[in-house]
Formats: sequence, C-alpha cells, structure tokens
Amino acid sequence: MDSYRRYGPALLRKARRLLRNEEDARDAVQALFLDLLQRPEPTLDLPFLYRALTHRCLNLLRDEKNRTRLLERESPSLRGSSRIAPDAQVLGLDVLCKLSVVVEETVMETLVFRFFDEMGLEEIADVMSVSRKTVQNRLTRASEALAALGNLEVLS
Amino acid sequence: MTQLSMPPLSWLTLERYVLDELAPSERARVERQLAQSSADRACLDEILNDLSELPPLPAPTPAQVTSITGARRRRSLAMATSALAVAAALALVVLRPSDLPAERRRVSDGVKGGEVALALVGEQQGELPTRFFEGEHFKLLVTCPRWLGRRLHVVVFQDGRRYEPLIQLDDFACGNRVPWPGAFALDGDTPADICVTWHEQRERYETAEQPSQLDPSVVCERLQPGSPNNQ
Repeated sequence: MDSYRRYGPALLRKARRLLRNEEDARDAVQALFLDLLQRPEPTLDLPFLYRALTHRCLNLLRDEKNRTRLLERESPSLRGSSRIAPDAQVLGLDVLCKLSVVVEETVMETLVFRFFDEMGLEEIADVMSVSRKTVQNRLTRASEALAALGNLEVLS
Repeated sequence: MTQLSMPPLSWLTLERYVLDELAPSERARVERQLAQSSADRACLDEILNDLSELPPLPAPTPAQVTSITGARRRRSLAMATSALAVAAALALVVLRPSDLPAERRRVSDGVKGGEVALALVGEQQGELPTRFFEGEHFKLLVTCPRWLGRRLHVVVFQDGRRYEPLIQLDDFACGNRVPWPGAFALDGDTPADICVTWHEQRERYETAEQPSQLDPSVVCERLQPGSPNNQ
C-alpha cells in the first residue's frame, strides 16, 4: 500500500506525540491503514489521514481499559517540546484522558490539532472544514473544561 | 535566530514540506520561515533524522476482512507476521464494492422511504427543535436498518459549506432512534441543515455543498438561527 509507506512515518510521529508510547502509536497507525484496506478512500492525503488518526487516538484515550495501559506506558519525552505554548506541556496524558470523556469529539480534535500538531487556527479550520470562529469557540470550550478539571492556566 | 512573534510551522506543514506536497507559494513561505526560525528548523531536523520504520501491515484473514472490531484488530496486530503483499492484494480484492454480497451492493438504492430518519434533541429546546442559538448542544437520534450502519455519515450544511461536527463511526449500531455518539453546537446567522447520508461515493458527500447534491441518499432536519428569547 503506497500511502502506508509514504505517510506512515509522518503519522507514527504524530501518534507518538499524542499517545506517548511507541507500541500504541504503531498499533494506531497500522490499525488505521488496515481499515483503509477494507474501505479504500478515493483520495488519501496527509491532512485527511491526520484527522483520521486523531479520531482513532482519541477513541483509545476515551476507552477506560486502554487508558490504564496508556498511562502505564506513557513516556513524556515522546511529547517533544512545544513551540506554541510551553504551558501545553502540562497537557499530560492523564489530563487528556479526563478531558476526552467530558467534552465533545470535535473539541478534543481541535485541541489536539492546536497543541499537539501546533497548527494555526486557519490551518485547523481548513483541515476540519469549519470556520475560524468555530475553531476559536472550541478552544474556549476546551479551556473552560480544563479549568473545571483544575488546570486553569494550561491554555491561557 | 528565532523570531518569537512568528507562529510556528505546524507539524503537518513540515511533514508536507518534506514530502514535497506543498504548493510552490506555500513552499517558499515555509523556506523563508525556516531560514529565520531555529525552533522550526529543529522540528524539521527531527523529522529528517527520524529513521524509524513501520513494520509491514499484518496479514488480514478473510474473517478479519469482514469483521473489524477494535479488540479483534489489536489481537491480529499482536499475532501477525508478514506476507504483506499477498495479504494486501487479498484485502483489496475481497473488499472491492463490486465483490460485496448482492444485498450489500444494493445499499444505495435499497433504502425505502422512511427507513432512515433522524430526530434532533436540543439541550434546552428538547425534541424537535426549530432553532439553534449560541451554546445550545444538540444530539442526534437516528433510525436506520442494521445493514446500513457502515455507510452512515453525519454532515451539516450551512451557508454553502459542509461540516462534520460529530465523530464518524466505522459501524453505527442502527436501530430505532439510536443516539449518535457525541453532541454538537451551531453558530452563525444562516439556517443549518443537519443531515445523515448513506451515499455510496465518499467524494460526493465530501464535496457536496448542499443536501440536494446527495439525493436521494440523505435525510435532513433544518434549524433556523435564533436566540433563546425568540424560539
């Protein structure tokens, strides 16, 4: 599968930043492409695959059984440094897991694009096919949810 | 030297730059920024120096081809070895739409009137809302035949644009008024059409700008913009 060879490494790097362990990151990328083998897509570009992989990783985080394993395997160094907001380091896997069960999928997805993939608001709007204002609203909702979880300054 | 005021190049942009998938003007912009930002250059180096390789995709068996629960897939990943080329070819052959059972091939034109229906439930307006306003969340109750679950997608059309506000599922558990996971909110000052489509061609619903372009494989509910006071 050409797209697996072409995009797989980039997706693996993304999955590592989010899941913070090599094994689950590899599984997530492989599972994504196994699904694509079953349901071929007419166009497979990296923005589409980034979004599909984000869905998959967020589903992992939401599932309680996976969550325990992911927290045990977490290697914070795989998150890398943040250029967009040094405080985003505080967004550990534990916080992400808690957040993923209290906010909508689209808000989580926006949060990941912003603070893990370090996209600008316009870029997120393009990838998600929504307006810039919607992106901003979702980030505000994420910030409010984090505040409610006791991480008030994380996204400030 | 890093220019602190400059927004960073996203990982997606850097990856696409490495893959040579950016338009010439975008590529030039990226190169200008890389020349000025040591932080962005460091990220680019990280990509270029990452030599890790993905193992071959595991070999799906025919049973895995027709059933794709997450747990089974993970088990298959753990047990799988190689045989990639044969497996990939097998999967592609097995999964071409034309090779699906006859009853599955008729999906796009086999849905009778009323077999698929959707109902909106507003956080504050309750069932059958007519308007949306800032901050109100909506859930979707979908009625559909079981065999259609793998084709359903939720799409919202508003002001000539399409959105996917809810998670798209591999296999929605169709039934009578089944809640679609998650909730969504709307904004803007134009009517929004909230639709469920089972169109066979993904590119059609990915490029459609209005529900009629998905006829007849679509059902929608329209909400008008409003406020809590004028509902």
